[in-house]
Amino acid sequence: MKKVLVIGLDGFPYTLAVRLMEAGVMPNFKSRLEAGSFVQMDSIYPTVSNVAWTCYQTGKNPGKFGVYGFAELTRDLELYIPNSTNCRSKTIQEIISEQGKRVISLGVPGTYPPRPVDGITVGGFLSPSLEKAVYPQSILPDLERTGYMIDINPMKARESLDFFKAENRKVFEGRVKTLFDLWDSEEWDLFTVHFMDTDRMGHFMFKFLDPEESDGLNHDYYMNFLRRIDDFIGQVAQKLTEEIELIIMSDHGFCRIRKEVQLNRWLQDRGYLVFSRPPAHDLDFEAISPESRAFSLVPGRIYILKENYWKNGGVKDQDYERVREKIMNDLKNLLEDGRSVCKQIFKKEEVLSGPYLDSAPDIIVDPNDGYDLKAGLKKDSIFETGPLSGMHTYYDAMLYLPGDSPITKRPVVYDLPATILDILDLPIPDDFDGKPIFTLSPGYPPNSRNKPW
Amino acid sequence: MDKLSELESKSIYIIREAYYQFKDIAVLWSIGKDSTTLMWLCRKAFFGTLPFPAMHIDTSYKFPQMYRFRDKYAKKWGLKLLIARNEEALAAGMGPDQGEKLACCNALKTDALKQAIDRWHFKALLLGIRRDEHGIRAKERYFSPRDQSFKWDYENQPPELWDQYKSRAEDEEHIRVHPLLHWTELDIWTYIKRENIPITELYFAQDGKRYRSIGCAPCCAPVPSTADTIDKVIEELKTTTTSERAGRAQDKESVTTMQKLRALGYM
Repeated sequence: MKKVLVIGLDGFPYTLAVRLMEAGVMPNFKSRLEAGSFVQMDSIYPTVSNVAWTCYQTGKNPGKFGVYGFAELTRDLELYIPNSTNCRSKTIQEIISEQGKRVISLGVPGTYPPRPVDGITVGGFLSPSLEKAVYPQSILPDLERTGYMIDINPMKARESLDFFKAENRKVFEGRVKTLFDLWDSEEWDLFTVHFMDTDRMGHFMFKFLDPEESDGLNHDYYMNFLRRIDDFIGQVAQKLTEEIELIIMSDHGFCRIRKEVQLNRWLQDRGYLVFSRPPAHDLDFEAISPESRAFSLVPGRIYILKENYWKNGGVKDQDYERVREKIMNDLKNLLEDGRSVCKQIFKKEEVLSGPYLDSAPDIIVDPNDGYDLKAGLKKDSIFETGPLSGMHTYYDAMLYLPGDSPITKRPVVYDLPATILDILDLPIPDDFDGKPIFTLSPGYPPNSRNKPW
Repeated sequence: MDKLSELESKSIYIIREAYYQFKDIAVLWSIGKDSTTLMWLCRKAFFGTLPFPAMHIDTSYKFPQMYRFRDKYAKKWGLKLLIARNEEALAAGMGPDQGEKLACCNALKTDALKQAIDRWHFKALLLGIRRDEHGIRAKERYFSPRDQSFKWDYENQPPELWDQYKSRAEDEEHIRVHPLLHWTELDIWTYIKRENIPITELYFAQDGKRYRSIGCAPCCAPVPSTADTIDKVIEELKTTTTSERAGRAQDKESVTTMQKLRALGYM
């Protein structure tokens, strides 16, 4: 019986991994690749971790589970933070549990509050505390013993990079220890362990990958952390047994930020967004006047204020398409220093499908590398420079799959559940968007142990 | 015995046990469907007349319908009704629009309750919480000790195996008693139907919306629904996938979560 271990390195770019392997920084990771295939993978629109990982959880595009970002607005323009209860789909963890197999999932974004499974779930970084994040409760003492931490304290991290660096490492070590502990003490068929630390370094420190940018210390910290991750991959490889297939993946890529782009400011300047009073803060959506036609949420999500959907929405059904196309046209001309901000501008139905399309953003913008799409309501200028130095990319997630079966398509993050079910020899539900990433050869699973590590 | 009668009988046992052990107790009545069901069970446990007071933590921001309902049934059921308000904070202008909503909850609910316990010296309080409401409530006990600062030491709780409750308090503690812990939202509704328990009209759909969970008017949002009778509510609950507290925009949790996301640049 096969088992699958998935290591999720949040936001680890494929291109960076290749570069690091070429430079000899990640030798264990590199030698691991000889036992399988390593490819670039597409993330999902909108490109944020809770959406991308919910695709990993469900095997579906967001139109089939109804979560499009870290923050959503109700039709009354009230902000809320979606969590696992807003995901309107079964998860792979639940599907596998129902088939009489056991699952363990540590730290996957969007899995708080944990849903009951046959196995263990520890919610992701937005869990309010460890004790609230854990299913079943009986596992809590074990996690406390292995030093499992839900997350760094991002408020403090933003104030002090030194604090961030120390705490980030602690979170990583706690998770590694917990993985190895549960690996031996629990029965499992699918084990997913998620590391947020790589995404955090991406946001807070991406520029320090460039030695020129750094006082040396920050660059060293970054490289040492990457070496530590590589050691960890080496430890995992040594512990693998014949029956365990290892998958290593990220959910999106990263690139340097050139400018933060305040799309609500842009919508306001073009007359699409009007306030009935000055917004009190960046999230003061109640200040939006009924004359408005559109607003934006992070990242690159633009909503048309349709009459029959939004409270006080002023765009009539018959005008909807015209307004949408006009905004899309205007976006094409959004330039910074002569460069286009938008790489691709989609209507929602071009990239999403499913029963929850109603609540999806009407326009989704995929920016050119360097333009981090923001949505503060109280911003004075469209282009800004902030304290963060890295932003997500759609096209540059990575995927390592074991075995020598040829990969037949460019993978998308929602292909993972189908692939995992295939390895576990379980049926793939009809409503999945994802497909197994490789065609199974008759001799599958291949004996990857014949290859050198 | 059918399921509802079993739930009822276990709850009544716990209510009687709490009264027998502590005598100085009160039942917290938030006017919502759960605590109104709890009031009903308390009345049943003592054949119609409560031998202890009911307490309403009044933030002054509740829906007018709730105040009307409270006063009507307090009279009808002959309740000794205590109203706990943090008058000092209210006089100082505390409200949900004064900055952080969390601070408002703390002052007008938590502090008001602390003041009430100090004033009336209750040894135990009956609360209508349920295990399925919320992640953290899953590990509550039927008899749950709190220390003076209200801290809940969840790692050091009595075990409650085989329905043996540790219902005696240490000196510095008061005990929270949760007679409805084993009920689900759907159980509550089917029981309300069976017993014909009165509840406020806020729970029933008007103009395509109803409240699934009620509290302070400024911090509760209705959910889209056409369920305007108990039967339709029950039908809706059997098929819904949204959470009961989805309309409670300002949970303490979401405030912290929001701060986190802001710090990470996601908002």
